[in-house]
Amino acid sequence: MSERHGRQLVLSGWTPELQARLAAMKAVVPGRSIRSEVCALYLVGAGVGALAADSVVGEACRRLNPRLRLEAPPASAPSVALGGVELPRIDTGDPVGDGAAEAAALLEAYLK
Amino acid sequence: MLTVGARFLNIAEMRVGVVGVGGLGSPALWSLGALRPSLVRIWDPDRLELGNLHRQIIYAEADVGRPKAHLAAQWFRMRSPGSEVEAIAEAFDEGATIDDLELVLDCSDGFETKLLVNRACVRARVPFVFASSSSWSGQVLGVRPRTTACVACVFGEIARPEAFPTCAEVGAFGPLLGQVAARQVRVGMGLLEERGPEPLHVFDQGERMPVVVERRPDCPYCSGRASASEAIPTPSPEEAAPSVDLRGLRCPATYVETRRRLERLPLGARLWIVFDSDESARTVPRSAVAAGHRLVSSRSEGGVHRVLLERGS
Repeated sequence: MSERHGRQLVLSGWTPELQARLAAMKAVVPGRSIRSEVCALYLVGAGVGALAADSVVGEACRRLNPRLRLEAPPASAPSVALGGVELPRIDTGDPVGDGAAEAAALLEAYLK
Repeated sequence: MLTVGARFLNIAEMRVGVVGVGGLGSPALWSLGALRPSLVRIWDPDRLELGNLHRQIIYAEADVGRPKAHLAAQWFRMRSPGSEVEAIAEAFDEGATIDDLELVLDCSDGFETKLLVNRACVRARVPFVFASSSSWSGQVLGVRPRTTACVACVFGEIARPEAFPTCAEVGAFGPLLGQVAARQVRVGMGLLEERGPEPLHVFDQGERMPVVVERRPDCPYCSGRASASEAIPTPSPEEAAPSVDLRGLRCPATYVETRRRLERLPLGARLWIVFDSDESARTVPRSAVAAGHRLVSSRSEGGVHRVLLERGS
């Protein structure tokens, strides 16, 4: 884990304990847009262990981490979530920036 | 889907260079993939490592050990089937072909490579977008060579290690790299249509701030025609207010610090800021005014500049 997440573990505020807890957490990212895919990829890249998402998004994330546990997404969810913390979606018309901003907000909320 | 406006329409004719396909280049390709440019030329000398995967979101764990330029090209062809893609699995150097490109995205790390890209693009007059990010902060600067401030105008020619620490030293936050790279691509699209000055976009602690920057008349990279430096406003009578000494700091740290101090104050409160950077004395007040604050007074004496700012909304 430390080789995979080494550049993240040296971030101020990030610890091996947080990293281990993240592996036991589930993220919920509804939809199959670029925004959803980018958001989910950053969460899985950061080390989230389970993902509830559309199958297209889920398979893309499995390329990054083949051990990722996948679940079906909720029927309708207007928000993204990590470990039970829900945040509203971000839509400025820039899908990559918005997906990254959603992942950043979820991870920052978790780190606090 | 993209609502950034008509400036995205001619992208199909566009040839774009991407220098580096790591933490910034990966999300930059995501953004470019949605735009379907006619050609993308990718430079990267590295092979994929396990430690890349937390932030480089175009790769697969199964591809560890393979050259990133080729992997990135493969990914881009799949995402944007109409685009021609060239992969160069070598470092960008002085001999790199860029004069047939409309835009270069500098997604490299290391200040030396960044100055090399700056020099090559200024020389070939190819618009380019500098980006960098480490730890919890990042920067994006669009450059129209010999028209707007270049990388050396803003950051100087000597790598200051504290300004560009490597990811290995201070770490990298994947989603921030994604936000910085998405902004980099937007700035790149804007460069080709708009003709105004380009601000430096500073990402700090989850916030993005545009900072006014200027060409340096003596810049060894892009000068030739010196830009007129702005006169300093006539000093008005001294007013009582606390003072913050930012001597020794340069842009963008001076601006980040100014805003942080000012925005801790109640509305209408005033603060003197002291600089010894000539550039900061010109650009920080302008950026602060653009952010909604008020410039009350400014004066300069013996290389020391004092500006009085009032907290706005």
